[in-house]
Amino acid sequence: MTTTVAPFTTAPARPASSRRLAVLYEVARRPSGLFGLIIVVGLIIVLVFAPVLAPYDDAKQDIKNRLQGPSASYWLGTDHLGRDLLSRLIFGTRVALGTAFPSVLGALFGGLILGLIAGYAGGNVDNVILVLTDSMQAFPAVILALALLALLGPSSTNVILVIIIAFMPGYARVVRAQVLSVKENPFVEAERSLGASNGRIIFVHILPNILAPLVILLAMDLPSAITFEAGLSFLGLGVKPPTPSWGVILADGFSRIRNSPWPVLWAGLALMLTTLGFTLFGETLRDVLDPKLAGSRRA
Amino acid sequence: MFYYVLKRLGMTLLVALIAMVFLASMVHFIPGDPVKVILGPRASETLSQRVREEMEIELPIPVQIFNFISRAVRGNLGRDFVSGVPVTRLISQALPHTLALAVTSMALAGLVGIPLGVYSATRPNTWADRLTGILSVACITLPSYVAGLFLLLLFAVQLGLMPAIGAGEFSNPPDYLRHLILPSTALAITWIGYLARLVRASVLEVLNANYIRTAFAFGLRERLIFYKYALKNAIIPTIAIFGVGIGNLLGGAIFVEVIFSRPGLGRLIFDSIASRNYPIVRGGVLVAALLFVFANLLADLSYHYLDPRIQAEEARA
Amino acid sequence: MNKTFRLISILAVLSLVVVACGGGGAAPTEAPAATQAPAATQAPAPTQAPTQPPAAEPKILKIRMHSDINNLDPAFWPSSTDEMVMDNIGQGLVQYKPGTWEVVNVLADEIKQSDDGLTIDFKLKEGIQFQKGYGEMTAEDVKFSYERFLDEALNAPYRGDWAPLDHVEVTGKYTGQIILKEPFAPLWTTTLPLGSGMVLSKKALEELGPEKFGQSPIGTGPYEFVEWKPKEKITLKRFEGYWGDPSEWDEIHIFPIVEDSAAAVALESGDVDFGRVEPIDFDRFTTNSAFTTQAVSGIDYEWLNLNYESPKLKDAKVREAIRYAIDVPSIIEAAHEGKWQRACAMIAPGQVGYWADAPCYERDAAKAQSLLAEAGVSNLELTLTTNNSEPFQAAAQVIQAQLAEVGITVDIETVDDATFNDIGGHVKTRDLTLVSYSTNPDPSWSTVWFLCDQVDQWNWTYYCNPELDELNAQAAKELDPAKRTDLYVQVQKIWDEAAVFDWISYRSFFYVSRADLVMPIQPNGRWVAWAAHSK
Repeated sequence: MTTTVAPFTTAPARPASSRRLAVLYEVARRPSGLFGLIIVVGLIIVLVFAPVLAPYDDAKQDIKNRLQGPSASYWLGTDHLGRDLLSRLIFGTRVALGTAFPSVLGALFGGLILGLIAGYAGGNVDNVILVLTDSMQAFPAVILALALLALLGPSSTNVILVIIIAFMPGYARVVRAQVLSVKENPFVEAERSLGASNGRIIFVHILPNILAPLVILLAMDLPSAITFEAGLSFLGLGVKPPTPSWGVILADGFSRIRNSPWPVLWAGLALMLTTLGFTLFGETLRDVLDPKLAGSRRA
Repeated sequence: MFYYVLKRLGMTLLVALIAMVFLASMVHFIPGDPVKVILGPRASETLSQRVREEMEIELPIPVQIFNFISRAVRGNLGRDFVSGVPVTRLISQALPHTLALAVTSMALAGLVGIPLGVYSATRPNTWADRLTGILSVACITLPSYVAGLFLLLLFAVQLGLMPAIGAGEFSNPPDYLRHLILPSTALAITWIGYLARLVRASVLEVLNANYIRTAFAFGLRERLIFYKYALKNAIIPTIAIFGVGIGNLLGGAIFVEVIFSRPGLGRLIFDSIASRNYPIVRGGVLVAALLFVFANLLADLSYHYLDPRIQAEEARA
Repeated sequence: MNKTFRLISILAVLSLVVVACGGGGAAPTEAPAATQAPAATQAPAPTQAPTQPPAAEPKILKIRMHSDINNLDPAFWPSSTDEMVMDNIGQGLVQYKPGTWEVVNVLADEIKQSDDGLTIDFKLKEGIQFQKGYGEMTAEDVKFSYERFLDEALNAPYRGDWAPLDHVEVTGKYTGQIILKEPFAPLWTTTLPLGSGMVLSKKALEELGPEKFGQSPIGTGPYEFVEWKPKEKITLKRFEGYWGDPSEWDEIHIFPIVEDSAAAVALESGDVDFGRVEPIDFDRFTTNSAFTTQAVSGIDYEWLNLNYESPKLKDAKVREAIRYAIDVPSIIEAAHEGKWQRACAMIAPGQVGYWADAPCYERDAAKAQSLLAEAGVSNLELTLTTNNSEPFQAAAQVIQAQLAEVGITVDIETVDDATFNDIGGHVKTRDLTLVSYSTNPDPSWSTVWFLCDQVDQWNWTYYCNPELDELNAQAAKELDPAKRTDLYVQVQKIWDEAAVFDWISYRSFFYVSRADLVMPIQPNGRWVAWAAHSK
């Protein structure tokens, strides 16, 4: 979806760390933000301490006890090969975030470069990049992903690549818009006429100003990336067995849904909560950092 | 206005053209022999030969692109590798089901989302409003396939109320509609959330606008004001979303079609990827992209059409 | 948007228009002579309107098949699904009586084999018509249908079924002789009564060529082929000119439903009348009086295939280690709910060639690890290729986990069902494969795929042993069942030593049908649609 971001005016100078803490505090003050923050922090803890938290190894099979519901030894039940669902979900956090973070970061850097070139160079280069990004966005993301994976073959790295390609145009546009508005700034024009290099302009004027919108976009795109990876894995086009992606747990559970609803239930809830948490966190962050956008007609 | 239409049309066609170029040449961006890339482990000699002929791999790339585009424009998207059936035929058999799904989902989203948004706009900051707000976010963040699976689990598996697979037959509308309920609900949920929020925001904005207040001051019946002006403004962002919504729906349709074993464009593309039937993948993706692009164009133009009208009425009021 | 850009957009629009109306591609829009969709034989539009004059609704039998057809030509078909569909369209001189292993005359009025087993005299029934106006069946059609298997240009995978054929002698319009070069025991078990013994229309085959014929075959059977909508439906219609007793159904619709859970739902909802289900769903149907169920233990075999040519598996100790590392009962438990019968050798019990004393290997992880150590191998990485059906995926993951416990890392490569059959020559580059072959009621029909001449086709073990080929050939000529069994046991012993087959199970079939429907099922699990009838 298209976002037009108004030029962000630099906040009053304060030490960066305390500024970041202040932002976090503001986010936590709001109930939705607090909820989101708790979930995000919780997920990161689970991700880091997975081997400690998980009662079993995520690939440990116990065929005799397949497709069971919650029990004393298997708190959330088992899957079709007798693997503990709780452990799989816990390790699944690593897969989910471990794919989503690099993808979104990759899209951000790719988009950053594209947007800088487009906005800075202007003219025909800009037009070409604009049309190219428009064309990329002509494909619904999932469909583009399928077409690419058809040729590349399924694997975690290819999924990351595909997500980067799908999300990159969005970042490119945001960066480009920022660059354009900064270019118009008389202060910048003055510096240029005084002989300031392009590099200086980029690093001193452009980058600091686009940081906030980009961070917001990052936070908002993370849940999409998580959903994307899980979706592709659900279709069998993502990670390879026995990697415990939540999407794979969903897929395995789906084909045996009549025999045990638990895999679908738990994996679905995990996805729901994760995306909800990240979205609430991202939205509150946006509201805090750029109040002009809050309440606007943003899709 | 006319000039605007032409400009947008031109841009859309350009994007469509580039999309076609991309699809036609995509296979060459992947390292390795294009035939092996396409067929993967299926690359037996006979099949490789057929692929080479079908896809005209030996010709220079610009010629391949040109051929693909000129044929695509005339409705020829190549033939299926396995059975030689024209891709266009396969797509035309599958597409109606996806379109039915998309239309029903959007209708459902509108029917539920808009009233919800209006409702909360008329009672801002009450508990009802806050509840709707929370539900909206929940809906927005729920992935369509999780929604589909939960719906399947609850209504089809546990309660046995709804059919779990297939689309039914077109010749039997009530049965067909019955098969549509769960899949379209799954797809509609995300959009209900978005619409509720969006409509709420725009209705609120309009209700606070000066000309409405003036109308109130003059004593016009509240309802009249409401329906004539505020609602109209609520519809506009809905239309703006429509274009994006179609893209999202086409993507989500793949999941829903797999979960509910429905025939459709998404299912066709997905199955063809598994069987490495590349012409179908390429043709299907192209059709999906073109649908998306033109839906966006339509939404854009409708938005533009409606917008100056409102402004003109505003001036008259 | 600046002027240049507007210009470009307009140019783009113009070029699209030009390209659409004028410019044509260099290549013709007609595909090359590769398989094309059946032309004039298409059924009318997909609406379910009855194809007959008013009054009665057509009686349609709806069957679920677990995968789609590929090629219906008996010389080429890759799987049992093609066979089961073609069984309604084509017929042979003799066939198995539905539901039994009893051979009865079908197209032959009389048929007799000489004492030395080298000559078979046959007399055809008169007035039998081929479908779709291809004329009357004569001895010429018999000659053409059988001799084509010997045609080198055709390169039929099932040429082994007619290998000892010298020629077919036509002695009259309806009479002839099948002349063999040497006695051939499987002739009466797997050649004549099954697909390779079908009498097809010479005229149709010559006119259409094998590729088109395989997509739209012509036979003498009670049903004719109408259309095949890939992955959706195969439609067969009653052949009005059928020579025999009319079958009950006006049409037979066969639905390739790959997902087993979807198939179970289809049965429950009545969308199909009959079909196979997975063990996990079977129990639901046995307790439901609206359905009848049948469990058939078959002769198709499933195994973990080791590629003899793979550099990592060259050492026999490594192969043996793998055999000791896996636990077959738990694989069967995970993949088939434990409901399939364990296999310890290729030929199933009850068949000629059954090796009653075949070793059934128990899991011994310690031994596996010591064998690997002896072979001087550590941190072994292997690929395991399998198709994407649920049971195979489960089995693959169990094997992966079990091999991991002895220090072997397995990377699972999943391939779509249709693609899997095409892998043929590519198995050479793969280490392990999880395979299941369907077979027919003669041991030679199973062993034939693993001879030297099937390397790069269906011999995925890549193990070639001339001594084995010799024993196998002898067994085919041997008409005494006990001596045959002996020879086949020797063949299986050689394979056991080579450790290229890790036997898992014999396929069991779990069929569900509408309670008022009787569907005959062959002892090896094949259903016979044309013989189905209401109670």
